[in-house]
Amino acid sequence: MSTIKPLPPESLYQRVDPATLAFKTTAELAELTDVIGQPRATEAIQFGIGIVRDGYNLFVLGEPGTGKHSIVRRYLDERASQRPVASDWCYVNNFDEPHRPRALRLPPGRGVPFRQDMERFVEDLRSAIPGAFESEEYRARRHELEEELKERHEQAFSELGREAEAHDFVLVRTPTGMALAPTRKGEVISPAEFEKLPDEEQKRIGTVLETLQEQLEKIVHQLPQWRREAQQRLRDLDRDFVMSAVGHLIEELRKRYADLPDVLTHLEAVQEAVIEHADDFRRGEEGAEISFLGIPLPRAAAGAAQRRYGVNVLVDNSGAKGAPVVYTDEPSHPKLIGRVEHLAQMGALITDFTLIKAGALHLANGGYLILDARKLLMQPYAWEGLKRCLTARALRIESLGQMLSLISTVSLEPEPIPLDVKVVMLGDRFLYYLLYHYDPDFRELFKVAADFEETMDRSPEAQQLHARMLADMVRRDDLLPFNSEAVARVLEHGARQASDAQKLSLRMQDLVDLLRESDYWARSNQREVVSAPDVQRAIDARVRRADRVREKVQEGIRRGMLLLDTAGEQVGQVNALSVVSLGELDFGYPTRLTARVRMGKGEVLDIQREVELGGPIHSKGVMILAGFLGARFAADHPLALSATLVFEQTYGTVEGDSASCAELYALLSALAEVPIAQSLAITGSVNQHGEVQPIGGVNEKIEGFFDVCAQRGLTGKQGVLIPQANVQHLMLRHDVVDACRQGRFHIYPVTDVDQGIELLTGVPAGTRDSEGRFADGSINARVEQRLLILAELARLFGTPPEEHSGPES
Amino acid sequence: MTLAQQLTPIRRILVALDASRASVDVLEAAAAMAAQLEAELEGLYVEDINLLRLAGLPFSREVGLASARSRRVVSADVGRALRREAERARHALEVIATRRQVHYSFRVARGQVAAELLAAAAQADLVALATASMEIRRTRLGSTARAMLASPARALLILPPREDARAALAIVYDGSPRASQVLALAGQIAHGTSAVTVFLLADHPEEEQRQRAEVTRVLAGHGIRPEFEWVVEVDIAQLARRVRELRVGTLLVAEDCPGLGRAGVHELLQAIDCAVLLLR
Repeated sequence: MSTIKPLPPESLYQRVDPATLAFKTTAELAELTDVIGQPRATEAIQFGIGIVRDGYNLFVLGEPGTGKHSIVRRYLDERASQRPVASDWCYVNNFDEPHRPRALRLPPGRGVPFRQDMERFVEDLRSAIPGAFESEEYRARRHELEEELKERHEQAFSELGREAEAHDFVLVRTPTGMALAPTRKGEVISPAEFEKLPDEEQKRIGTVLETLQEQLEKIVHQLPQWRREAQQRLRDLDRDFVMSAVGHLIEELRKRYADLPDVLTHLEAVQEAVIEHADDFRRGEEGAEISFLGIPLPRAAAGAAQRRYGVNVLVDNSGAKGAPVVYTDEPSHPKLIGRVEHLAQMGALITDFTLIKAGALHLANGGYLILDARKLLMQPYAWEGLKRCLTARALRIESLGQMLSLISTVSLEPEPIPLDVKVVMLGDRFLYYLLYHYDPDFRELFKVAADFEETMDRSPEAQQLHARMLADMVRRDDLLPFNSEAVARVLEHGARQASDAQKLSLRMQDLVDLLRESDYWARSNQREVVSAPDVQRAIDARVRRADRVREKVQEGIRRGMLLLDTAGEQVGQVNALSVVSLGELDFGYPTRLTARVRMGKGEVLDIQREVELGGPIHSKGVMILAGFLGARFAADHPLALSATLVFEQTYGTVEGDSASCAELYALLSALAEVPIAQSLAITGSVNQHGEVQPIGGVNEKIEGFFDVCAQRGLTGKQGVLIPQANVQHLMLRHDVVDACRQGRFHIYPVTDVDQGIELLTGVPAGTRDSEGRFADGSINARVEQRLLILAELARLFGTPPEEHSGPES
Repeated sequence: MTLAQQLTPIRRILVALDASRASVDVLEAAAAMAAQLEAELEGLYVEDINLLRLAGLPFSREVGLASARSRRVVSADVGRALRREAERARHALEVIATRRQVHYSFRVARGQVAAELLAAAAQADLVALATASMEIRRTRLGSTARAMLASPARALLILPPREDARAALAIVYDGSPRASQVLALAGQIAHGTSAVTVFLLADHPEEEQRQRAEVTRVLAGHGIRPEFEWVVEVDIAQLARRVRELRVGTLLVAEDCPGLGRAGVHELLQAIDCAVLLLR
């Protein structure tokens, strides 16, 4: 008989004694200042935030719900508050190259006042420039200049006219020019009169005309030059007057921004541009409506002056207390890098620097940007754009169309802005390793990985800290205080969530959800403090909401559709345990596993694998069985065995090696032809030496078999064989623990297959004596004997008939 | 008979037309006035006999004002150009008069421009013409305008070449009967549509008050509320500057206005840059 004793109830559930928590309710607990359970990750975060070198951006990896975001945010906020406030950034017109707007860096909080100053400046120009042009002084000077030109013309023509008159000629205006004609008595000579003139007179007229004509040509030649000179002088006059109107306004701005050389340079350019485009202000914006082909254009086009001299404040850090910490939940390329918007006008898309919009990188410049890796990678070209900016340490706004050369129309090329930002990406481990292996840029740009644990070691001190963390969550979410029993129950549930009695779960989201739901039930019961039954109800309700499939499986077993024995004995048949993960619920259930043996070539056939319903780990487990059998029982003769193993009534893929123990027991039973007690279920994997190895989901598996047995009635003989190494993971349901305490259900820890087979069959496993033989009647002896018979039979079947010596054995 | 005809019987407005832009401006102004006064427009295009003669001379050459190039003046070309100009002038008259719903007539004369205009002016109540174009005029008023000033034409509308259209109207008023006629004419022309400024030439406050009351009364009948500028001491240069400052579009003044004197009026005409309606 087996000497393995069932586990005592204390081993099945590591409860938290509320008395050790040393508080009545969470309201008494002080706020937790440190992050608990994540020393590696927090050290990495602190290092990553602290180091100021290229490429030292952070990737914070870990399972969802482990509190990565809030912890990172907390450290970043703390660090950012000690750093200087980041600069304001503006885009202004580049008057030389309007398609390349200039970027201006301003001290924090001065961007908006600068924009307002420029708006006022333009408003002032609207009255100052027309005022200057409407002044009597301007009119008079312009009039003088115009008169001067006229006089110059008139003088030239008058002199010519006088000289012409002296020679009996007159200046005549033709449809396109001027001509000289001889006169008599003040009237132009007619051709007939001219013919009658003596030849000498005609000759004289010709000679004089030639001279006058030359003078006339000279004058007319000079007209354009005079006009140009006059226009230049008029332009100079305009310039002087605009200058007088603009000068003092610009001077005020210059004084205000004397400490900012870039702004002063821009103001210079503004002054030049205002002088150059003074007509924009002279005409006034309230003038005639601008139209194209009779269609009125929107005012956006008409307000050219305000746009030309305006300031587009891209980043405004007024009121900020430290460096920016920005999180964007939609990290698309435009929202990350910034974009240039367009206005539709007359069917055409137009744009200018005022339509440049900031991206998250602009807002985070000089501080920190938090990004969700999965969201970032799902956005087309966002990752590439981010890398480009980080590598170049500059923010160059480029539309995707431009980047991919899909659009060849001229758009804006805003001046790149120097980038000084630390990016913190949050994501799954899977994404981290994928990026690390397949993207060479990644390891250059994200040199610091902060790996978040999902669990922390459980100790009285850790439980106390955990309780304080829960208290913080309670306060933050404005929940009812939790009493110590409730907190103890939450902690126990945390250990169960961690699938380890020695650990506590750090899945913050799950914890917060449990606290909120417990609060809900407490409030539903008009309680002022959340107590353990409220927590239990929240846990039960969660299970209840998610366990539709589990119930269906249990129902199938109960109604005999899934064949399963929980009493009696069977040869080559065991109850194996599986675990299923469905959403937020993991549950276990037993499955009948059978083994059949016959003579063969030493193969253990896994039917699941043959039909491609077995995963590779499962197949590996089955192959180990052949290794174990061969080494233990057929070291010196062929393993002439053909065995088949199957999970009965499974219609999906089976994966994992946690059933390899059960498979071995079934195989040994079939070989030894010794029945196995069906009141027991088995979980655990086995190696080639027959040692039982730990598996996952032990609690769920035990509970799955317990539920089937409980439905049928607990006999006191039922129980589960688990690997000894899994005992430390046990955090079983209270009903299971209670049944065990009452001796109605048992959990047996097993270290090797011999222990297990003895428990299952009630027959000793047997060890080899000094001669190397197993004790008669033992399981091992029977198996060995059976394998020898199969080997001999195989030998006989393999020998030609004439050599056959007959069945002596 | 309307009130306007009683006071200022302007029934025929003669417009001296050529192919220039200024000529079209004159036509527009004259047509607007004709519409207000219910008068008829008479367009006159004079084929310059001097030009035709010049074209017939064997050595005639012209210098293009735009190209500054010298070329032969060909008689046939000149004839064609004059006909084309006349046709353009007629077309402009037709379009503008039709739009204004004004009766019009058009004729082409051949001869000395000033003489032909003078002859035609004798039959007209008002002559509208442009000042000379900028490049070739010797004074603000061209030779034709000066000739018209010397003519017995009863009223002259002289328009300078302008870039912008100004609607504001101004009147020089000294309380004389001629000034009263100007005032009445102004009332009909403006008739509640534009701002009217009245320069009151009065050397003492009582006179100014009297004039102001009279003007207010007359213009109120036309729905006009004028602005007043009191000119105590007549200074033509100062008056001209004020006209420019107020951006006056058209100045109405009687040539024999006692307050200014004929010479003063002519001096004012030389000094201002707006249109002038001179009542004689």
